[in-house]
Amino acid sequence: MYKLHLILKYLRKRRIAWVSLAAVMLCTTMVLVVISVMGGWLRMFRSSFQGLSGEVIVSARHPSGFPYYQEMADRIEKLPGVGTGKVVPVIRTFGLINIGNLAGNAVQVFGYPLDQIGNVNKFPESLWRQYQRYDEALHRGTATHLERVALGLLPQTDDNNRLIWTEGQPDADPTPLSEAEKQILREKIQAGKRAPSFNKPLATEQYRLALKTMNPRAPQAFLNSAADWQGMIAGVGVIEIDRDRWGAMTGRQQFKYELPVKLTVLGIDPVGTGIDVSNKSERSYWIVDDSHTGVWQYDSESVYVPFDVLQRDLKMNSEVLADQSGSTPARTSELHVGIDPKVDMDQVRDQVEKIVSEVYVEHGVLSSAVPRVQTWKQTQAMFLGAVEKETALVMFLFSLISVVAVFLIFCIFYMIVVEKTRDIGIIKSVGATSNGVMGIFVGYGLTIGIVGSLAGLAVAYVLVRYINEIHAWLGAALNIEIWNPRVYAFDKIPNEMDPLTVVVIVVIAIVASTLGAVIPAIRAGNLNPIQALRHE
Amino acid sequence: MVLGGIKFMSTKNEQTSTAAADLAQQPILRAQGVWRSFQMGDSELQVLRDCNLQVRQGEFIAIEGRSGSGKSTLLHILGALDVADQGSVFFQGQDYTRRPLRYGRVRSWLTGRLALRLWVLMLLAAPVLVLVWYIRRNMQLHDQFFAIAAIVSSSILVLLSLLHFIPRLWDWWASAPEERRAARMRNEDFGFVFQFYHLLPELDVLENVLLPSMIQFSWLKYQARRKDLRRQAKTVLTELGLGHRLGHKPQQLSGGERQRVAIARALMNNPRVLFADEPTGNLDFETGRQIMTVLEKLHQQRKQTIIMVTHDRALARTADRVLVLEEGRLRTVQQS
Repeated sequence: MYKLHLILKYLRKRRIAWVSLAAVMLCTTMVLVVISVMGGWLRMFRSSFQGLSGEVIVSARHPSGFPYYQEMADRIEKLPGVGTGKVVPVIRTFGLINIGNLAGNAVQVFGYPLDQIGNVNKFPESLWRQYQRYDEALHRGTATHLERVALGLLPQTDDNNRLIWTEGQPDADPTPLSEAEKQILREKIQAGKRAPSFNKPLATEQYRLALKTMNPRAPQAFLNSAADWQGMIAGVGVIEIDRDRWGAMTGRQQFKYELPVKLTVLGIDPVGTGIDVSNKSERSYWIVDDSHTGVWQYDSESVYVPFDVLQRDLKMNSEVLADQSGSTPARTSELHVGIDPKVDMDQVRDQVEKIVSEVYVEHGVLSSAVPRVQTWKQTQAMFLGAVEKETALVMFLFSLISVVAVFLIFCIFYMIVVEKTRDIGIIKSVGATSNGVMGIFVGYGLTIGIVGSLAGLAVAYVLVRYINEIHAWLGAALNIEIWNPRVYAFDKIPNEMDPLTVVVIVVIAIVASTLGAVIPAIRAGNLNPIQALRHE
Repeated sequence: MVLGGIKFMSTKNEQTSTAAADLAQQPILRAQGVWRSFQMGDSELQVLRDCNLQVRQGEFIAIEGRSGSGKSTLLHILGALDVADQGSVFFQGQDYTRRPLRYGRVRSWLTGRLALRLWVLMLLAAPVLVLVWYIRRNMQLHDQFFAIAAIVSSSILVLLSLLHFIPRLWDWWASAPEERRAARMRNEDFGFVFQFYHLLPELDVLENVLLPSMIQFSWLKYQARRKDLRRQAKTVLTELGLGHRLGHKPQQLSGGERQRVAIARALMNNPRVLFADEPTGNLDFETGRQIMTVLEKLHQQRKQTIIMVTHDRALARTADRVLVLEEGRLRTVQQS
């Protein structure tokens, strides 16, 4: 009884103990925030990179791609854990882009068969027009009049069949979405997820008008060709859509979807070894959507075009030979395989590798050119490994700093014991045992550990939960940017805490502060009551 | 002062009423051939030499002597606060002598200056050497010097720690039952009143008086008896004229009041023997006299056994029996 009573008394009356409480709190907060952010960063890396590609990737060893991919795909689909439609060819190349003469840049060009890509990655969910804006509206639960028009919940054209201009117009206050509207949104989300497309959102006349506005002297034939231009999906960074300081996406203006884009890619001869500059292909596109995967490297420099179009432009399609003796096989640069999460990824990888080799052997192609088969983890090993190592290093360093807290508690408790020597003598003289006195100080340390680490947890939770807002506020107040998306790959700081990590760290903090109190407690317990009573 | 008619609860005294006659004949406390010395630098100071003492139930004994004559040491040994080098102490016929720690000697050379330096050196060197060895190994720089140095320094550290802690652990383990018994006796059978009051500054008057009961009972048992114990403490304090000071801190009280709180604390668990170590030594004459009145009343009305240590001959005369401690030996003084 007296132990608890004295612990509570000492905790209230000895303000010096609050310093150790603050030390425990700060260390717990520090370690929790660092581990949550770094761990979250690693998690985001894993899930984002996994979302960007199939689980197993067959990739060409040189830019001209590899042939017989359709045959390989047919066989791979039959593997257990794969299934029909789960093998998707993707072309990855580089090109030069010119967006409405406003911006020119080198970009990474992806040729996606958009109707299948959702089977192997989460690309459809990164699209703003076809998925994210419906999802956001559904989550928000409210919409203004013009937002409803833009979302297609209200007619998008007026009585004269002209498109209603929604940008920068006076708007009414948002009202809650009705159940029917929510249902429409849900259907649109499903459609966007299932079958995204490169279809152009505006009427042909509108595009013609846009072209004419940009270049009034353009010949009619050129204006007419606008209707035939293909759709392109641009990464948000390519068309300068970015997060502002407060974390909101800005720069998603309507005019960006009415800009003609010219993409130049270089055709690659399968026989030759170099890139043939004379073989360049220029093609005009309309931007039909933007993709926000969350991985800055992809969002800032990638554009996505229809697979078959890019294949033709790169001369990777099947062509009849000049002497009519046959045709060259079509080529792709990658095959993405989506597999059942229950199936062992490495096992599938080995099977795919076998199939690829078999197809090559059957067609008598040089074995040195056999495409590389890797799991997504292997392809991103450089990134993941670096982040894993960095996380471990930071955790180690901060744990080392936390050891300082243990020493601080040790010193403070030692001081308290010296200061309380006479009290210890008194307590012993009225019947407390050595273990009892020891118990007071160990309990004192334990209480400080529990209170300090729980307070630290509370502070860390608030910090981690609102880390993006705090970062934005710091950025605005001090004009600094700590989390640079170009460095950290993501435009948002991870703000989730892993419950298991939290439990482990809180327990370690409690044990550590108790340990810091143990030696002073042993000293207190071993004090001779007579000497303690005589202590000045 | 409300000192008249002190009626303290005396359950323990009544319990043994049948055997009271026998016990009255038998000494409640007995010391036999007690020796005690202190190490003062290189020389040894022999404080007690073959001290013998018998205290009967309900007796008021005063031990007189000059400062530094060993009165308090004898009181502490009798009160199970200190340990005798030789001799035995008995309470109600039971030996409660505690022996000095067996391995105490190991300390002398292990905490000596050289050992301490070696220990601190290893404590600093061992982790550094281990770290250097680990880093070099990971960098594939196989280097036997650091490996051997790390092993040797760590081994010395472990060995020193074992040599230091094992005897202590053994002492702690072996002396634990004796220590527990002594603590229980101090809590339940003995009460102490010190010259400097020795109250806990963080606790108020009532809490200070309740401290022995808090130590005696576990949390659950204390909660079950809480009301009774508080009532008892309040009664004792009221009887000692401190009923209006319950919520005050010791530092808000005068010397006499503090000493009365200390007496109330000593009486809280109805002790069989009350030890008073210079109870008036820190008080002015008048307050000292008041405290002595309290002790006398306790002795007369409650038949409280009291052993008081004082250097004041006049105060000592209020006791039934006066003993003088001279050159480490006890001598009875014939009262006129």
